[in-house]
Amino acid sequence: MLSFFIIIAVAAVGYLGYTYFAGQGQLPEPVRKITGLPTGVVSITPTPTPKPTPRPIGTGKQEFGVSMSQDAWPKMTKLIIDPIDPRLLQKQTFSVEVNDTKPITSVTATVKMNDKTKSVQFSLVDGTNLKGRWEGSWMFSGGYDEYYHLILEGVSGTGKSSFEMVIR
Amino acid sequence: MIMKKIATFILFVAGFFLFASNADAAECTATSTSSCVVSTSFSFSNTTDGINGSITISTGGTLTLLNGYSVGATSFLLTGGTMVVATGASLKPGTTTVYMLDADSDGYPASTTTKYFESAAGRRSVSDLTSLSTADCYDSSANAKPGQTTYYADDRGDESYDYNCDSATTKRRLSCTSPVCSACSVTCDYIDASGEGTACGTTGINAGYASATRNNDEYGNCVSCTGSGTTTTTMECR
Repeated sequence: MLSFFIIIAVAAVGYLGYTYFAGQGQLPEPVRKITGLPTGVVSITPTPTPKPTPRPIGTGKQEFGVSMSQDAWPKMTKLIIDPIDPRLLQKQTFSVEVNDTKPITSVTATVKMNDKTKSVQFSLVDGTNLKGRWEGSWMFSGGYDEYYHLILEGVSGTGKSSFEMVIR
Repeated sequence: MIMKKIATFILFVAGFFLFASNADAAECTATSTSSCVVSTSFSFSNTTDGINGSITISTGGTLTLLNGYSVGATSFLLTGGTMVVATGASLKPGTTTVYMLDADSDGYPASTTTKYFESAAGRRSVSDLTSLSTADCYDSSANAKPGQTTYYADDRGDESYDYNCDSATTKRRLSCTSPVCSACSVTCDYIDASGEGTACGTTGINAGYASATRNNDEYGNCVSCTGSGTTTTTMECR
């Protein structure tokens, strides 16, 4: 008799657990169906949620002076973002001057936007791998009215250095 | 040997003060008013901004200043992080005080996005303000400010009675129509009168009983309170 009740209890808990997870955290409701729209005129006015005005970030080509701590290598000094406010599918180019006492092997930018992250590989376009200008481009896509960060990372024989800019 | 011990002691004391001073400073945020540390990634949100103290950029931190932005602080210390400053941005070390406009001195700035590096009439140091993130709704009366709980019978100065900055007018008036015999005395109470058509500041509203009579039993204990007479009140608002 006791075994019978245990089996019933386990089955009940199992069923509730299954419906709970299958319904993403909602227990089954006794009635959940839509039988049709009312015949009268129903006007639903959604309440708009006001969005804060995005802070200004400038337009077009922007140049930055970068100051890194003494023990950070490779050292990035001058950064150009062109443009800082790209339109959809517009080419965005990053350029950064990097130097080190040992050869620089790679420079990478990671653009973090509202709901998207993109990595851009740089290539050496001027100078040497000890002191030169590295550049990378991509076709911009994504929204950046709420979140817009840029992470720059350099790797060399000395080690790795990086920083994350908050643009918005 | 003694010299070595003295040197160790001096290093210990110096290290203590160095790390103690860093431990005191909080992480820089949009509402920082005093010395702070940038240990992650930070950028000021207002085009003119700053703090009353120093900004330390520590290991792993990046302070970014975009074109057109001015940031003031007593000093900017790069102890391990990175500073990225745009051409056209303005870094103002040596700024001892950052101000905001609070003409009525109620602790709430007229604007949360405008700061100043110079003193002037109506400006107050950011560290003297109650809030940097909530603006005043009327900067000509110290009684009108966000969160005000007091009701007033007179308008705040611009014919509005919105003293608590909730963009609404909440009314109340004294009511003695249902006197409470608390500790065996009639006490009048304020009632919510938001639904009434009576305008704020209106006087002479009938409030009900003017007084109450205490009725005792044979042992002198209060058994009831009886209201009598009439009194008037004023419609107060906030």
